[in-house]
Amino acid sequence: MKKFDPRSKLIFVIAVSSLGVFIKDLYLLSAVTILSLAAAQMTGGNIIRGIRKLKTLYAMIIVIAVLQSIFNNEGRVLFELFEIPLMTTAGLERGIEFILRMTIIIISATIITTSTSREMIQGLVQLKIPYEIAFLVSLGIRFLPMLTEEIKDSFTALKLRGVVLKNISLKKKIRIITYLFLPVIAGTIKKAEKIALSMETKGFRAKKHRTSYLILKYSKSDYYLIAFSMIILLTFTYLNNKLK
Amino acid sequence: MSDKKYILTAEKVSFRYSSEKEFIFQDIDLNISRGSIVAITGKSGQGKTTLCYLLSGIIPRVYKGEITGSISLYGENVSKMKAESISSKLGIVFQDPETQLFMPEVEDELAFAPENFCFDRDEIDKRISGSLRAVGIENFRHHETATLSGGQKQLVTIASVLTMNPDLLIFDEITAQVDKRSKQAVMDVISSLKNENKTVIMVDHDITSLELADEVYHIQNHKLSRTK
Repeated sequence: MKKFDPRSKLIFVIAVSSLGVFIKDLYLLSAVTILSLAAAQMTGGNIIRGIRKLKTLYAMIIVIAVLQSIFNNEGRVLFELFEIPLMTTAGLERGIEFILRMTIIIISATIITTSTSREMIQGLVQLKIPYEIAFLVSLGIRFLPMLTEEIKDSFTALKLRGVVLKNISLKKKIRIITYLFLPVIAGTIKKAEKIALSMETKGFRAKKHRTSYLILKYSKSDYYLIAFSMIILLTFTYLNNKLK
Repeated sequence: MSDKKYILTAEKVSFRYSSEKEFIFQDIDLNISRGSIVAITGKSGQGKTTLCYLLSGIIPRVYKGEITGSISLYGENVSKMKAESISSKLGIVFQDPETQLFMPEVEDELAFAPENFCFDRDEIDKRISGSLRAVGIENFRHHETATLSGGQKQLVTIASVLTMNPDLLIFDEITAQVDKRSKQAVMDVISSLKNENKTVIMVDHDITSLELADEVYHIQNHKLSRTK
């Protein structure tokens, strides 16, 4: 698998996600979705994982389609109840549009994950983003699972005390979650404090500038990928404006 | 007192955190000779970690409180030294490796500190190789830190501190979260550091890991007393 520079991947992802947000035509959106899936496959992105993440959003197609059908009097009625249109062609289109947009954003994000956080930091630094910002963003991503784990542990502790969240009222559920919130936040702040301490003892921001052991260099294929990103961005923008 | 024989000295040090009324330490004296291994023991809550923070200047730089007496590193008052000048003389490893590893790969992790000190690529490479060798984990260079065991992670944190080539190392209960085998590996590293004339302060509640120590101190009731 060809290894692209994280900067060229980032440019591609920004181009494709932007298209995913502003393109209105369903056919063009489908084409961008196929393109992002192909790019993810090509760069070694974990498509299956991305699709699994989208699974929970699939139900949203129905919700959006029904809401759009009820409140937006466009398109041909496909299904109605007591003369209220529950499903129209326009509503269905909006639902499909939503899921395609989400697919483009999530699948293109998997392309980013094919670079390590160190490569991403260096990519951002070489794109003239201050190191502190690039490093803190990657640190945030790196420690996000830690926060999730902390929340999971709190819920497990709750279960072990015999509290079954499914069986209690929403009011009580909210109250219990509020109780859990405080120790989780306190634990996270404590961990963050320790991380900061460790960073400082290793000379973080000791000098105004810092050197880098990892230096990224563009290869020919990176230039092709950047050019390709620009071409698809301009072409799809042009087609989108023409089909309006 | 700034005797050249001693790398670190603490003279009549008393300390209490700003939020607390009671002093954690009162009139503590400690002289650390170059190339020695010093063990400090004490039960939980006696202030072992606080002592590490004081000796390394984290108190009062990060955590505030009332300090009396003086702590000197190479004759310089630690509380007045800048963080970066302490880091190149004194390295500290904490108990939990999870909060000391920030990078995805071992090599990146070890490059972090020398990069902060603006060393060039060749020098960073040399320091990474040297530290990995000193800790005996050369084959982990391209491993992902997340896939390592607790003991291996702790060895990586030691190696990452060694890249700054400090003369004095403080280990704050670094074997508390590792199994017996990993604990032995860490002890072997400490033993080899002594052969390289490094000075080590190991703080631990477990007395069985103290055979290596030249001097042993015990913290109890706000006092530090020498037991070996």
